[in-house]
Amino acid sequence: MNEKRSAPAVSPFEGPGLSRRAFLELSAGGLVASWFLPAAHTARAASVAAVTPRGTARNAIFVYLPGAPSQTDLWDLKEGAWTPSDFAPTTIGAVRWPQGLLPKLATHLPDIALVRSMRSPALVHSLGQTWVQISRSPTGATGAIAPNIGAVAALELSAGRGAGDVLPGFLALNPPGGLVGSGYFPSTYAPFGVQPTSTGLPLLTHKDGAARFALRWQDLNALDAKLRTGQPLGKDASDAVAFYQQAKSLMDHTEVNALFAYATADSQRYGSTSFGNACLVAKQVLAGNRGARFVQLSLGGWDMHSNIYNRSAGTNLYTLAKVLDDGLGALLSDLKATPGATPGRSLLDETLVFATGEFGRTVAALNGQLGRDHFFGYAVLLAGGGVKGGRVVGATDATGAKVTEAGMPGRTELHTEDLACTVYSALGIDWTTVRHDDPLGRGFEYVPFAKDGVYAPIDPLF
Amino acid sequence: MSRRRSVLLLGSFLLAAALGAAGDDETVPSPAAPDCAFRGTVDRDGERVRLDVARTALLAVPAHAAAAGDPVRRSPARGGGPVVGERRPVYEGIVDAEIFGAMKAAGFEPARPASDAEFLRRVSLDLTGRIPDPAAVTAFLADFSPDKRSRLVDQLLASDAFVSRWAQFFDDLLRNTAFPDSGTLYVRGRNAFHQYFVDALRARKPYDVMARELITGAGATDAAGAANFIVRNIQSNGPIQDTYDNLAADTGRVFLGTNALFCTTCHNGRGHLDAINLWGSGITRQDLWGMSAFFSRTAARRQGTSNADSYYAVSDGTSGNYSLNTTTGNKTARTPCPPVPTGPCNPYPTNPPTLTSISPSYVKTPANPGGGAPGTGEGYRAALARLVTADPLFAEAAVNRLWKELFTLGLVEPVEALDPARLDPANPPPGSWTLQPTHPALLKKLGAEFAAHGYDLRYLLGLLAKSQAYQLSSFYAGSWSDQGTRLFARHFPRRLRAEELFDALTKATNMPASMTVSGYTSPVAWAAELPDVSEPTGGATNGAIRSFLNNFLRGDRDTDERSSQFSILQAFSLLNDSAVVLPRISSIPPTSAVAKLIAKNAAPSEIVDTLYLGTLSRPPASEERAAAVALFLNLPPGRTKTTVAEDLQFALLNKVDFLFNY
Repeated sequence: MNEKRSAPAVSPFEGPGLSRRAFLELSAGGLVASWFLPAAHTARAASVAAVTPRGTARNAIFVYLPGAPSQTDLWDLKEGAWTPSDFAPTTIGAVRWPQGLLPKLATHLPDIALVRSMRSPALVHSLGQTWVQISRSPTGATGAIAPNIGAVAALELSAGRGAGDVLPGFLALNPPGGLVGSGYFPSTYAPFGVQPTSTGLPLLTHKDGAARFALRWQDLNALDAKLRTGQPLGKDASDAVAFYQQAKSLMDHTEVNALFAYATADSQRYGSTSFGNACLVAKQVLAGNRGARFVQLSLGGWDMHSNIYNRSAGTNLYTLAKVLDDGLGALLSDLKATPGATPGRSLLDETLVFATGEFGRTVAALNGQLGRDHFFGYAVLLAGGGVKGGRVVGATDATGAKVTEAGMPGRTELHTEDLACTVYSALGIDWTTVRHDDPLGRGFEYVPFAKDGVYAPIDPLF
Repeated sequence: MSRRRSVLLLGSFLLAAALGAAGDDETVPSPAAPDCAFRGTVDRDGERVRLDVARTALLAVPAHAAAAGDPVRRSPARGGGPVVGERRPVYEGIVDAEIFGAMKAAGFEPARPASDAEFLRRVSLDLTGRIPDPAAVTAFLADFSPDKRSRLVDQLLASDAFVSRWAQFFDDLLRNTAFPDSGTLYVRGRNAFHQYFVDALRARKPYDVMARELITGAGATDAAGAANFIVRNIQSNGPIQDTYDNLAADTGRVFLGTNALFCTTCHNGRGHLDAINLWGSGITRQDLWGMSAFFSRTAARRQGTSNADSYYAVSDGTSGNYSLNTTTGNKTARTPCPPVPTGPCNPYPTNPPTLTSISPSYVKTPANPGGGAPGTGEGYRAALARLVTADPLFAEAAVNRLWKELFTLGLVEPVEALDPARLDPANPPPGSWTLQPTHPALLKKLGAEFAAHGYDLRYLLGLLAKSQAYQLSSFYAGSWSDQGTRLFARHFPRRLRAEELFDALTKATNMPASMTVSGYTSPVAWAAELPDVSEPTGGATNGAIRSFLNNFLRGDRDTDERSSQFSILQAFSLLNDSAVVLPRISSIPPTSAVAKLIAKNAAPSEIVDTLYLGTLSRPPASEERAAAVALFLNLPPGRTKTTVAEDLQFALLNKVDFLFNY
């Protein structure tokens, strides 16, 4: 098996360093070649060796944790002199779990699977954050044009859209800075970014009334017809027109606002935070079944280089873990209790939930500022959508410094590309797909090297 | 006879009438520089374009331009007969020679020239961030002088709005914001930083002088605005060397256009940048430390206690270097090599153990292979300023940024990813590496031109704006291919920046804003004048404006870059924002454009013409005019002249040719 990357020996300290803007400027994408080319049409090549996607999930929820959570305190708990006693490490099933940090998620362990053999190739935030969203190196050839994995999902799932599906297929709730968009894909598949508020979608209604708006919309399209058909001014302008259409579609179905609005009591159940509200709206939107199928939820702030266990420090593990636990815990509970689209299945059965950061944090003893710095090893959490709970895939050594078992045959470690293959497979998407409609004319792989078998779905999860 | 010829004939009569009988050829005026080349089909409606054709085709033709065999046989100015064929434009000047030369060599047709209205709106936005006044549009379209486009450019460069727009450019470039994650400027510092740019632009300060002042800035940052460059790069949660590294890397980014130095703050370029930046792949962490060392005698101390009253005092000492004595913080350890080598001393294998600190040393670039260091008695930062501004990369990086502001895409993209080893056409990179710029010779020439003209920003921008390459239309009649992008064969539209859009909205509707800014005693009317992307603040109206601007992705000048991506939320904003948009289209506020038309009982045709001129900066084409006027006729129940006027204003503000700079 060709393992293309191995963990370098250099001791990893890394810092804020490269901002996303700086990073993006470094990527070798060159000119945006798609400037004036016609919109992508669905041209695909069959994979070299036929694979069978599992198709166990109808939806996916990507719990995105930028800043890099400390796996050694959370999903791959390692205990030592450094471990605060109020983490209350407890054995639950096959897992040692920080009960004190994540009590609500502890109750969901029978539904949760952990992958502990993940390794990131890079330790720069902006690089890593883009990497996990596009499932390839941002500096690679297709890095500059690659869509968010959510956009790929939205495109692939769009064939199944019916008349009632008025929401965009891809939603980003509590959207992060550095949210990756639709890349070279048509803007239809771009994430619809919404900051949840109790009243629902902002600016959804026209204050001068629906009748007045109808006249205005009609006038606009009549007067601007020449510039709104074809692509006389290129892709950016025609994308804008497409976004107008999507906006209008939502305005024609204002009942969807109910999926975005929420009651205080519900928000409290989820922890009364922006992330919690995003989890709540995600559940409502998926349960509402109006076309959104891939939801990205963000909770950032994990970059705790200092005072990670200090309750009085600004952002510390206690406070952020509570936000995560309250929100994700309530989300898993509600998904489980909500019927899915297919009778006999719950919404959790139909929704693959996966939580990941861009890399991990240093293990064992804390650093000189009582924090943890960047580290290549990390772990991810999954639930629902066909994933079998109560199991752990892969393992690390006593301190968590090295991977001892990848968890998949022939592998020494797992990468975010394997996670993407897993998500695609669960959604019924052929992860080895290569599209031939990209503006660079190089072919666009959903997951680079997947068709060669370098990356694959993490089968032991199912 | 072809339509074009009949048009030219018509024009020739007009001109003959205007000039009277032209005497000898020598008296036919020829403009100093042909700023209006004409080729391509006349595919637009209306008198306006015919007049364009007449003026451009005729006035630029010297009487005996024709050489034997040249299809232009006769000067129309002589009132002679039909013009045979079309005049081949002459592409002179640095920009046009290179751009059209490359197109010709590739056999790729350029777009037609932009019409006067297209050009006026575009250059007004590009140079001043504002759409033109309606009166200016009318005057410009009726002006027959051959040099009107050049004169327009000069006027715009001399305007106050030029200063605001380009102060914002520098605010973006230097990431001017009061409260970023690290490198807090505080309100006082931020405002002084902004004021520094305003003052420098007003005074026409050469860009190399600005660079020196930014690199060497010292004093109290609430008065010495340039010193905020230092403060902005302060790294919290780490040793002071982390800050010096940030400063070195940011110097590289801002002034040399290369982000490769950021990578080398943590590790050597080799093994990381090998496929990304050829020059960077040869830079070591120690090379970066040599750059950081220029800042190793600089200190910045916070003054004040609250967010409102804090700023920094920046000063320089006379001793010290960049010490290799860190094991914690945001970067890998910086330590001397062990006395007894136990293996490679990564990342600086040849250092003796006695090397415990690094002295200032400028990175070696292909154009600057000697590097550089402070002279005897020369201040460290002064030395760096000298070396940076003498580096040819300084001018080229600047020119590339300015090019991008006007041409939408840089000659090198991304503009902060310059690879010094891949720029010089006389020294092309080895192997499968290619030269980075789309037009390497052009970048080099423009850099030299900028330097030769005292790094005068207005001069360089004027040079670009007066070129025919800049003045190509965004519309392309033939079949487009990606090859045309690299050739700049047409103008590339881009969505208006958040601030541009807001300012265009308030100007078009004649409903200015009044925005309060932290630390300012008076409000500002133009979003382009806001010193920070976190402004305006205070109260609901300012909050609504801030929200609107943020929906259009002005970024945070920290980790989130400005973007011209469109979104559903932006469409919602323009269609439904009841604080920023809807009150401005209304006839109720008496000063709104709609209200004024209704108040004077304007006829539908005047309403249409005025709203088009005010919003889209052009008269309506005849079919547009007919369609818009028709809205006012045979009004169905519920629609009145007033409501139609409001709806028309609304529609125009949502049109593609309002939202985009094309």
